[in-house]
Amino acid sequence: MKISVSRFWKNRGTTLGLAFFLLFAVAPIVWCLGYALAYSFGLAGLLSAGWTTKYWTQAITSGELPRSFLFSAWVALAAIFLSGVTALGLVLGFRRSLQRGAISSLIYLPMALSGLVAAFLVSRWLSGAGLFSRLACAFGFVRDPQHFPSLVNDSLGWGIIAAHWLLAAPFFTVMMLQIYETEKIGSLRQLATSLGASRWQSLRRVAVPVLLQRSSTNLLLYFIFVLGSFEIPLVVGPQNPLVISMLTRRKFGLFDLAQKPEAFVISVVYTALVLFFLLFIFRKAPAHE
Amino acid sequence: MNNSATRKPLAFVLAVCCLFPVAFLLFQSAARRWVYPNLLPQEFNFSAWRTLFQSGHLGGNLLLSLGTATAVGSGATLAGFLTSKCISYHRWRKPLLFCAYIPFVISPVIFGVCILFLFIKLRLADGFFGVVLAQGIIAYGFATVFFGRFWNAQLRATEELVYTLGGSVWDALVRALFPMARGALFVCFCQAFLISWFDYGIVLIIGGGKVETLTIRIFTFINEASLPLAAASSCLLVFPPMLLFWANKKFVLTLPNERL
Repeated sequence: MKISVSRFWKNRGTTLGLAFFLLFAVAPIVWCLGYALAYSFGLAGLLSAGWTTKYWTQAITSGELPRSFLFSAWVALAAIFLSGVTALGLVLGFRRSLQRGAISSLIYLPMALSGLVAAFLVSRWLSGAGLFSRLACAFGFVRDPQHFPSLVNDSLGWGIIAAHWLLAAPFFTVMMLQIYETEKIGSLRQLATSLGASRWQSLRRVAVPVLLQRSSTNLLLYFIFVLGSFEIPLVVGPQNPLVISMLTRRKFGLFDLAQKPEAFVISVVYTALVLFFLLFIFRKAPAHE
Repeated sequence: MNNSATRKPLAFVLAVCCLFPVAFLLFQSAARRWVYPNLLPQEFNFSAWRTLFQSGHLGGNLLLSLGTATAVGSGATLAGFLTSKCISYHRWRKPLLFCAYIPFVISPVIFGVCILFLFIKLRLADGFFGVVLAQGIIAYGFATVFFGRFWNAQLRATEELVYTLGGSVWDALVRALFPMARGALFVCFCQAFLISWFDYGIVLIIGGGKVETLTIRIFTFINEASLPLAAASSCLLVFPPMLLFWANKKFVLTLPNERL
């Protein structure tokens, strides 16, 4: 009797759990996408006047939307590439140093920084009057802030890339250190060496592919995260071009209500892109992950 | 490259690199009259810290941030833990997990922009509960994904054993599953806490300027170019995560036979 009562509650619990999940995780996203689609086609909002594709045409032909997506993708790719290369270099070159003594704890410190704080730090280091400019002046490389190539609010987004690198490099380093241990890459390399591979070959053909393959999902997820980041570009990003989140926020917050539907066009395109990347991750991941 | 002659100086350089951001924040918070091209400021004092603590606003911002992050962290962890159990044993596990990923990876600002109208209609915008709910949706997605890989055949067998021995669902949860998951629960709470603690976009859009968390205050200081105040309040934002990372490393990673 006890078992059947438990089963009854267990089944009801599963139904309740799924209902809760649908209500608080799925429904908000469905609402967001539905509302954004309706707004972008003129079916919702204060100035809605029925079905129209003019906001989509406006957004695409103005050039702002493609420019913003290309710029965001460039920033995300550069940040992930630099962070990944730094983490790979540290793990493959200095793994033992990273696993012993105080450094094994200190490596977690930069991960305590938020995007906003990282952006603030980068602005204090890389701006025209920042710390690096002062150092360059002290060594006689520049005479005043104007001569220092400021990397903050620049059109290529180096400030954004630097701030993301500051946050992501320690995270990927810790992650790859764990992968190195769990995948027993040390033993695999030893095996490769005993079979005649050189040290460089064991690195290039064994360690790097395993590390990259095992961290590819997280690298891709981080790419999506950087693609939609807001705080960092707000502090150290350029005004033209704008990253996706900033462009959406600007179009949404403008006094000109006619610009609002374009914010939802961007939201729809961005969400579709995120869903595409997620589908790719899910198709790629093995069944047990 | 791993011989001891190079290891020590290298470890020192890496340690300095890791410490530098936090040390610089502390330094900047005390720096006064730091004109270009001086490498060091002409004056050091802690007036920024005094201003922060005497203004009265900071205490409110700090408490609000802590309250929001604690509510989001604990709610999302508990809900994610229970929901992920239902999802993991469900035949549609993969599509359901896919749905859990979406709120967690989507840009908070774009999510905020799209959901604002619904929150206005539900009278949740411009208030504490609206911010908690919006951040909670994101953190809940994360927690569900986090616990997605926690459940396995061994845990299921343990749960079944509790029922076979006469235990109720509550017994299985409180006496078997929660104790077995305490490490994972703590790690998930920390992460969900940080999602809320670091958030700026959702508070800006859903809070509508009426919910002033620490991140909003920091951005105001950066915008006003009040650098020592921005640095001092950034230190306050960095301190709780540091504490959580330390607790994580000290207590969770040392638990015996813990499933993380």
